[in-house]
Amino acid sequence: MKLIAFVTFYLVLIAGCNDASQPQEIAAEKAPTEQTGENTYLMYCAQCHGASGDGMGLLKLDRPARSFIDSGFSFGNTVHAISKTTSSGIPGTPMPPFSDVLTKKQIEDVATYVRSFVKTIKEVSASETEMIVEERPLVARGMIPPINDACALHPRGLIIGNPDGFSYEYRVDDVRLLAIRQGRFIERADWGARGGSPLTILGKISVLVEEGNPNSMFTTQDGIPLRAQLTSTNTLNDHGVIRYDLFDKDNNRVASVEEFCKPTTGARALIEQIIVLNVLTPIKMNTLQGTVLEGETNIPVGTSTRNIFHATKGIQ
Amino acid sequence: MIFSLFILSFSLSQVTPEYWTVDYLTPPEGAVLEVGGIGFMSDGDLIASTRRGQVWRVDNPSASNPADATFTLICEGLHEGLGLAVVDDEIFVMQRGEISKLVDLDDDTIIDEIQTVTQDWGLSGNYHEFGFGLPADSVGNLYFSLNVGFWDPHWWHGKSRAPYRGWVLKVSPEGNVTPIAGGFRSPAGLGLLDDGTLLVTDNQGDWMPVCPVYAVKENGFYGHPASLRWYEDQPDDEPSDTQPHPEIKREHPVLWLPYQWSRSTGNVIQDNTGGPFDGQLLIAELTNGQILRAQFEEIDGVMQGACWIAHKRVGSAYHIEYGPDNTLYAGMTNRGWGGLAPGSGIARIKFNGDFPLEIKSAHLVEDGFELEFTKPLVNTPSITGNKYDYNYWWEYGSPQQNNEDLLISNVELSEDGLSAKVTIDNLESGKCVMLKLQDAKSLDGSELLHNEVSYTINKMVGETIAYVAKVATPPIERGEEVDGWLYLTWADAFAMWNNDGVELCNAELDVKNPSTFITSEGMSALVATTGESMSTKATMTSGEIKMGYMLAENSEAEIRLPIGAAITLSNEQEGGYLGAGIWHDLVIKFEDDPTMVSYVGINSVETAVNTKQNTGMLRPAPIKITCTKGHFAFGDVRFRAENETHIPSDWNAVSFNKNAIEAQGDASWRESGAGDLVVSGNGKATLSNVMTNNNIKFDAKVNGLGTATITIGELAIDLATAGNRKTGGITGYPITTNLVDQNEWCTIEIQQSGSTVVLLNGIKIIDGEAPTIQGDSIHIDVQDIELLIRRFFVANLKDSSNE
Repeated sequence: MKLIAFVTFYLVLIAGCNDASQPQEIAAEKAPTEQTGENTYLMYCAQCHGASGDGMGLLKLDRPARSFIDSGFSFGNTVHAISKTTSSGIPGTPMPPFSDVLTKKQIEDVATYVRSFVKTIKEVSASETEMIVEERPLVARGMIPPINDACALHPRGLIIGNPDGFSYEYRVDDVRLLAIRQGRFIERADWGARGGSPLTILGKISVLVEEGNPNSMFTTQDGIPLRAQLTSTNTLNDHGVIRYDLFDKDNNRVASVEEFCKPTTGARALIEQIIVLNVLTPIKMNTLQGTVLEGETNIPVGTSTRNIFHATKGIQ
Repeated sequence: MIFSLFILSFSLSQVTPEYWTVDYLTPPEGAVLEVGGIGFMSDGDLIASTRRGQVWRVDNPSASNPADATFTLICEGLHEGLGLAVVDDEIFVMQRGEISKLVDLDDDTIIDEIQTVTQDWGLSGNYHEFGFGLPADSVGNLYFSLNVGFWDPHWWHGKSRAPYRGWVLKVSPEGNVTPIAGGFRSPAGLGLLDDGTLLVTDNQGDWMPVCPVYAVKENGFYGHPASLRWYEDQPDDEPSDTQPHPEIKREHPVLWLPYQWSRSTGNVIQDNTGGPFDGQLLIAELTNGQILRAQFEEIDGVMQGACWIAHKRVGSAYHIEYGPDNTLYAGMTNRGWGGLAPGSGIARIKFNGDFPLEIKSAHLVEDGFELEFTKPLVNTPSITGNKYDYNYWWEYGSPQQNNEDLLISNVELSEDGLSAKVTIDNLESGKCVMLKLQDAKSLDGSELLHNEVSYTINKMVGETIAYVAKVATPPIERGEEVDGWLYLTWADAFAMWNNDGVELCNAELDVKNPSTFITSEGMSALVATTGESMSTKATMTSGEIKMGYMLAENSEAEIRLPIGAAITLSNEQEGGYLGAGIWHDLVIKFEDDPTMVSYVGINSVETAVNTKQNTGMLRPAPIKITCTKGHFAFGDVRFRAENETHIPSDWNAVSFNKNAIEAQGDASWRESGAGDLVVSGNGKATLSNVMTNNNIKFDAKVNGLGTATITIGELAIDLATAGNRKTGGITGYPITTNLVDQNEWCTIEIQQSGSTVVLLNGIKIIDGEAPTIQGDSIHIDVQDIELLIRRFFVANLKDSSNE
């Protein structure tokens, strides 16, 4: 219930703020002949962030827009980082994605312009041990530190970082998504001394699945939990894929699962995950707290697809 | 950065240039290859996995100019890569938590998919749970080994707190895992011989007197008890790690590698290059940065053998493999482990076409050895030797025990000069033997390239088998005695010292200019150049110093002892000294009355050093460490005062009234079996009605990483292994050096007559104005630790009240 209300709120907000569903038309009508970062900024950003970048735009939001003058950058102040945020938006906040609205060049130009609001900006430089996601997704395997005081350290963990700036944090022993993050990727803290220390995870949490200690999404049709075992991670395309098998208590493989950590579009309060199932024995899929499962919970034999929508908590 | 120095091909003068040339491949600028595994594709490309979780593909690795070999990063983000296998052009990597197959889906050599082969073993999260591998057999089984974690009471004590830590296992191509054998500690190297024999090397530590090479038998037990719990016929509980388990048969290693030859052992490969050593083994060694050669034989069905140094001063060789062209490649790494430079990258050892004069093999016979040579000798060599054994115990490593000279009664050279029979009258089972040959020359005038051979005798011909590592009375039970060490450079390396120019950084020998070090940002060494020194703020008298050190070439250092004598460290030393660029352990024992240096040991070998006496020096005095020439690196300096347990007769023992102890928060208290007061958890315990006074003395021990304070009156005393206020500090005088290790008893004495003096293990570490102690209750705050207190004394009340 709460989720639905949240979605509605954002749809209204986005409609009021900037009609993202009709961007090309607006651009075609109003775009000046010279496509500078400044022009793009005034057209798409100034309503919220203000013409001078002070966060005092004409639209009054319940969460004020960032003041760039005060170096208010959520996910880093490099042109690369600002471009990513501009492109993907910030789920859970009024900041929409512009990847379908502006070209890559326009986004880079506007990011350069935004950066110019702060004259004495100090570039955040990556350390030798920071892994940065560029054009291809990256998977980092390693120890996952406890997400919060109630959670455990996971000696086997992995994080999939996508080029859009989102990363997906899994514990591996039972293959469960713990959190979706946005921003920088990871620091390999285990490259010091003898190694063996947990990764430092740099992204800010956008989705925390069941407080970071989620239940299994899959059971037999009788409700008996299924054991998950990782089979592969794949980074061939523009988004990472994680695959695993599900086994019943007699160790029979009952299904194979693929989770697509796709770039997010659409309603900004939600992050969408696509689950493709190849089922040998009918199973049941459970809805995790804070998520909406689209489609039947019973999964029949054969190939099925289900979509999960995660509620974002916004950036604190 | 370091590797840009290696762009030119060069050979090291120390590395037998006439026979082999050593050079180094040149990774891309900024890339640091901490190599954990090497394999070859059918097109000759070298694949290397690294501890940074990267996998590199090296095109043209055998190019005559190493700069012509090109590196491509094909995979990154793995959780370490301490092992790699290429099977039919498919790449497998040993990660800490998974054996993976790396798949390139679109033929651009970049890995697109990481497929799980298995994760079927335990990880507790302890930093030391490395996974090593990854030899493949003819049907595609992969072999791997799992470190125990390091827990307590000392940081190096191995525990197996997740399934199969301390075991070697295999996984089938279908992903089915079969545990093979346990009892390992840090089994960092594996090897698979052509006949299917699986070899595992281990590393010196608890229950491992030195580094062994094992030929693994299914379900055998190899000595470290922590992993016994995973045997089907053993209890699931954690076994005792202080008492041996004599009821369980302990397998013998094929070789105990001499400590001076190998302190951190890597993998083993078989030499199939067709030369004189064909069929023998090569062993990677990273601390001394060399490659050893070994030969096995069976005596009445018992495997044992001989080993030699094959290639000195290669660099921190962790994983070696022969390439398709019979070039020997050494993947190097030493991060956190220490080892000869270079500490990362890939070395090549190329054969120049002429073999040296070497001892080719050593065979044990009833009354001695038959030695074979690679070339005929023209004269009978003179041979000396010794034999020794080791302790099998929970202590870290074992010195050589029962060292005796061999009684060599005859040496007889064969007619063709290719072999010699050495008759020895006092060989016995359960000993290691070192033979040293002198005056051995071949027809071409060349001398033996390496004139020493080590042989491990598990069994003499016709005699019963015996352990070289013999069950020894364990050292004092843990925690029963004050250990007494002060770790003078732990945490804050400088706080306890007056420093004159010494820098804290990483250092390794500059291979191109071995008279200097290459330094980089880090905290692994204290580095001094000519004239720079550090001296302790505190003064000492009789006791013992332990430290690690490394000299560059043409360099010297002086350790001035509190008794006035000074010893000189140089590259000319013999005994246990191995050469420039290698870290050595140094132990100096000295007494003040009469003044004498009673022992100097380098790498556990008693070594003669140049000692200067300064009789006029005021005593007690500090320890002063000076680089007197060139470049000197040192670290982990420890001091232990001669055991002082004397309690003045006018001091009173305080017994705590247990009814007056009150715990608050999540703290709890108990009395241990030995009568110690134990406070643990997070919170406070208050002891009321306790007689205290200006002078107090007590023993304390901190278990775990955390903090505690004992507050008496207005004075708080710190007891901590974490945070910024370490053990020994008091109100107004924090101690930032971690002088006392966790799980070791220390003695704290506070005297307040005039100024406040704090003695830690008998050494005055604070002398200043501090709040007074007086009060009749003690508050103990603990955070994340267990604090033990015993032997609490206060000065005679009457005397104090008269003050």
